[in-house]
Amino acid sequence: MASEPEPPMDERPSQASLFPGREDQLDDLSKLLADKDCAPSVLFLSGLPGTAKTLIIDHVLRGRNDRIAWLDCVERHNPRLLLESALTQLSGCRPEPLTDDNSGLWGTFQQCDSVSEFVGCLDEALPVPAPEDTRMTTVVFDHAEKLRDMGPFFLPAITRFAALTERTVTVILISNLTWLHFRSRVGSIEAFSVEFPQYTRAEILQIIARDCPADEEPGFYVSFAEILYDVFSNPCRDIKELRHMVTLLFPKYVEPVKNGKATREQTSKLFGHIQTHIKDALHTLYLREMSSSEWQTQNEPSSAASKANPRAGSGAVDLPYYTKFLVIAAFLASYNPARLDVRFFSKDRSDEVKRRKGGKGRSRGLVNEGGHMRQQLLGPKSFPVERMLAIFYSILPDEIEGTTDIQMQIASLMTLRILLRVTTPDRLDGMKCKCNASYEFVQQLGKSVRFDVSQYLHDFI
Amino acid sequence: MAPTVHTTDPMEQIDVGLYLLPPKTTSESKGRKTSKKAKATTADTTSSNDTLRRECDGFQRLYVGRESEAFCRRRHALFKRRWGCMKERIDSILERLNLQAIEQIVNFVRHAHDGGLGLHNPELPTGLIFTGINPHDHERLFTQIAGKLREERASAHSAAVAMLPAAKCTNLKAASRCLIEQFLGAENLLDDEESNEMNVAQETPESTKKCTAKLPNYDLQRLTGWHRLTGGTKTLIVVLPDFECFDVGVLHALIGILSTFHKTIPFVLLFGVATSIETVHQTLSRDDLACLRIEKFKSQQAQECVNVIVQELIVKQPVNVGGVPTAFKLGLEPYRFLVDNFQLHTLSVSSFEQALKYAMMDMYYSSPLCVLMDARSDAPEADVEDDITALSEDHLRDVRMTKSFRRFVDSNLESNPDLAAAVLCDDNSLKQWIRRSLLDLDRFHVRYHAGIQCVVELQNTINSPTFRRTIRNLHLLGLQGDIVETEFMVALLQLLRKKKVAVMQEFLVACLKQLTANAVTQAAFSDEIATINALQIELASFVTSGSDSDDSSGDSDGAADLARSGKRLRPAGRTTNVAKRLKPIVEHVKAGTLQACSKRVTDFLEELFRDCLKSYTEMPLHEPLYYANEGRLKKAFHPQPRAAIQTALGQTQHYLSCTCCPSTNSTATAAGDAISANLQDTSIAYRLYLECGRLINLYDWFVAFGAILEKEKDDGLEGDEGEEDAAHRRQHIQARFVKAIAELQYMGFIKSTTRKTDHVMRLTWGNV
Ligand SMILES: Nc1ncnc2c1ncn2[C@@H]1O[C@H](COP(=O)(O)OP(=O)(O)OP(=O)(O)O)[C@@H](O)[C@H]1O
Ligand SMILES: [Mg+2]
Repeated sequence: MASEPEPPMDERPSQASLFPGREDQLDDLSKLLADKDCAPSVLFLSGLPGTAKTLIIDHVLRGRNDRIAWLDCVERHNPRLLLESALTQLSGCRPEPLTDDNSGLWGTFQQCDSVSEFVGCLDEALPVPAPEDTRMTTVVFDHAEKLRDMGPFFLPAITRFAALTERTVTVILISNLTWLHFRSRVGSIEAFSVEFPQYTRAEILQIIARDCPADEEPGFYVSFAEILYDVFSNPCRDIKELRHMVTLLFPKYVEPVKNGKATREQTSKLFGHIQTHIKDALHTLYLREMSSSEWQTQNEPSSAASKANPRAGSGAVDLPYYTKFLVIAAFLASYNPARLDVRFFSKDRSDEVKRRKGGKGRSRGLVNEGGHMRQQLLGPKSFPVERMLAIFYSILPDEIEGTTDIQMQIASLMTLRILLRVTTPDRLDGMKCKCNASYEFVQQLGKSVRFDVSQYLHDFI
Repeated sequence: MAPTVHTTDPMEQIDVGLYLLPPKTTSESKGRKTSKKAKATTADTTSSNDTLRRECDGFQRLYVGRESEAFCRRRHALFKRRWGCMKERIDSILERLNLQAIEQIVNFVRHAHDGGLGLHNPELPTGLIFTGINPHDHERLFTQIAGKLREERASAHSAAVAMLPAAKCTNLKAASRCLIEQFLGAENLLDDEESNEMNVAQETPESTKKCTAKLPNYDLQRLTGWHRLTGGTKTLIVVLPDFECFDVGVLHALIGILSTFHKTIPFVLLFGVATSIETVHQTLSRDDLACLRIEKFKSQQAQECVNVIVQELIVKQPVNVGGVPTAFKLGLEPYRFLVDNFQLHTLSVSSFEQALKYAMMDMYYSSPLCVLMDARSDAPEADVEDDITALSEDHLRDVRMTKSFRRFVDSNLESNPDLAAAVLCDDNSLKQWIRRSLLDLDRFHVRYHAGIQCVVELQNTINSPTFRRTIRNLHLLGLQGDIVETEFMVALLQLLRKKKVAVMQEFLVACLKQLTANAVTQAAFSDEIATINALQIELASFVTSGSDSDDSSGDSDGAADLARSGKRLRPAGRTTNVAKRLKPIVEHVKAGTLQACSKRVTDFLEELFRDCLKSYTEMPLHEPLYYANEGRLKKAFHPQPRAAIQTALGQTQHYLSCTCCPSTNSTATAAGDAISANLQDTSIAYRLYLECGRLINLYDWFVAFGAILEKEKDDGLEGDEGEEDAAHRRQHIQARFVKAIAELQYMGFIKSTTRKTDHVMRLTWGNV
């Protein structure tokens, strides 16, 4: 598959196939679901996100006269929602307002909390079809991996719908996990699995080519897609992401052409032009540090205001004076070993001591300095709040009375997620926290209150 | 900075007891102050006092109840009026400050679905609003935004707004319910249980195949259905005002759901973010972020808001010409408390506002003279006049007892003994004096405000980051008095002198603009305005005459100038004490040179500031206008629970004030182990605890506790009791002991330890 010859560039890809790369699956599925009596009771579609699972099954099922219940497990997030919706859809009605005023109560076919109720109600909703009725009954669960979180008995019951309801029902599970992940929950049932493998380069290019704007040469568009694919295929092969990037970056690519600075044939020139943008995009767009709209406005030179806007919320968090010290104290408590607190923070700390911690303990021999056990590499350590408070009071330049305010500030730091509580919330005594602030942030705070954080950090680079 | 209500916060699980003990009668509460109790109040007056208190939110007659009811009502009414005005102003200030941000947001929502950007999987338009760290401050902002959005879209396409506060959305069900309720605008969404009952009642034959059972009230089909039936064009705006408090799982699910619906329903999300964009990236997964099209907005910083509030509501004169209250004056200490509390602790506009309100309420509640604050002494002989004429003997005595009155009398003893005697003895003259002093204060406030504005202009002219203070800090300097002597001011004036002529001219124009802002200030500054005009002409001569070259070089080479002009003149026409205090080196400056002129400008400014920005304490009768009770603010806004608990346990008499408790602490400590058995059990245990070491042997503690209680028995009934009684009694004591210990443990005084069996660890040391 990987070494498949690429399609000729000048051909419109739509001629190749409706769904490039999914011909096999389309074929398999239409065969499997062709006849009601041969259809499997459980059909399992698995494949990574963006591999057209939803698209294909929708294509196969649509246009048929079947009874279908389509359930998205993300939105129908508990059994009741799923089952009620399934009943309503199978019975052929749709939820409707009970009163004239449609903001009031809404009706559904039947209230139904569990699979056993569902089985009971199903006869009402959908009388057992006559044997000559060729229509199938299908229940589709999209994003079926969510089903695994809905209690231990729900998923096994669903996969046994056919047996439980004593009729021919096909349950289709669509998931981006493999059947392996389901089998342990489901038991001995075997499902018909249809795999949706990741696309090859050629297939991806074919799919992307379909997005080509009407006023653009497809060949030119695809050549750009190729460039992008080669850059991005290492971190990401997700078709959605790639299409997203291509649509956002393509205007940049043709810009010189539109300006008349280059022709479509001067690919190397165009490539040189786009390279910087791609680099940018790797950082900002792909990681979503910048959203698509910001990306677009950023490149419109007209709006000066919007240029300042993207960085608006970054970094600068204005904290009250004492709260800044609290954050610093929390940071120190998280990254310094507790045994050194006396040395750093005791009141009668002499200059000699100061020098020692600042100026490398290597001569004085702190045994486990450096190396891979350094706290900085391990991340913040949890500490008792009392320790943080002790550090806080010792680093404050002036004496303050302990008031409720300090406690309130600790609480607000927790809601702001600058402090993370590691003990359970109902434990009042001996509460432990972690500092969730970055070194840059703390350093910035330290600067604003004239406190040199680095002076107080042990073994920190 | 107040913590947000977080559903998993431990504080919610503690029952916080709050006891409100309204003073029984006026005489009792004020008795301490005047040290004599009102004579037997008849049942009649008590009942009238009760109705008064009910009608006036608990305001009561001061002066041991001798204050007239009219005055009491007036204080209450004045408070209401003043706070009403101030509140309105604060709201409008905040709205004004956030106008730009709100407009941007509304604009964003309006065009959120316009472009489409040609992307394949439509992203949810998402506005991040960086609000600053106090979620409570921003409820107002978000209601404003919501209001704007609702009216905004009423015309073109309609929009609906749902506000999802984190506290209400602890799980997905609750969040969905909240969403549906708000969009459908229906309170008639019944609870599940209720709908179940109705379901049974409304059962219809199945054959019709109608949908009869109720959809659960968190089923979003309700929302999609409603949207479809109402035309399908409505933009639905979902506002999460406190992003950080949101449960990550709920947020993730919500974004997932909304983006699946997004194909059919145009959603717009607005997040209120207290910290920074990094938090958003930390909280949301990449997949979630991929569903959002983020734009960022910034609301006005709390710092700026408070500056404007200070400028508009504290620095200004308390009552404007029309007699409408505009500002509230705080004395130095309370003001510093407010500002410190803001800068150091909260950074919260709403808590600043609350403290201001509290101070104002306390002023009107407890100070009888506060009626003078709203008495416009220059108003026609209308309603306000009688405030001053109606002042009772008590009021006048209070006036005579103020420090500023005494200072006034002292200073007038020699120069004007008649006046001093008159105000001391004659009530009418005193009232006359009050009127005059109020006028003076009025003038002072007008001048003070303009003076501060001039300092601001000066700062703008100098335009150096080291010499820039916010108006709230300038006001602090102003309240302290002697602002001209401060290093800051000296430096500012020094810098001004080194500026070019054009800059100085600009500055003078700006100053003049401040001084002539309105008729009132114009009247208050007539002299200064004339001086500025003169100075301007003088400066202008330097521009038009050939000394333009001086301007450019005037910054540095004053010596050259000095050499060039031969004339040596004493600075003329300077009779003020400022002129006398000039430093010797400055004396060398010759008149007619640019230096002399710029010196004249700075001298003028110095004089202006010295007079305008003198300390309010120098003004006679400032006491009724300036709130001074810092202690009460501290108690209300910086409570110290540990100290309170320790006092309650250690010096119970303060709280119980019953006769059996030892009256003072000294007797208890002097008598050593003389802990009274009458004390409350926890208090007894606590006092024993104070004598213990790091580890406390529970048994010893128990024995000591028992001994004290036994003493009570000995004191009480003498006589034998049966064996059973004794055993029963011991059990009783043990139960009480255990309860006391449990309470101490709950309050955090002791902790169990594994180091020694039967011991507990002592956790607190020293008395707060
Ligand atoms: N072979 C293909 N031909 C045409 N379009 C495709 C193809 N593969 C993917 N796409 C595009 O990618 C989009 C994503 O596909 P789809 O939603 O069906 O993926 P999925 O497997 O269901 O992903 P998820 O697991 O996230 O639900 C489709 O809407 C379609 O536009
Ligand atoms: Mg899908």
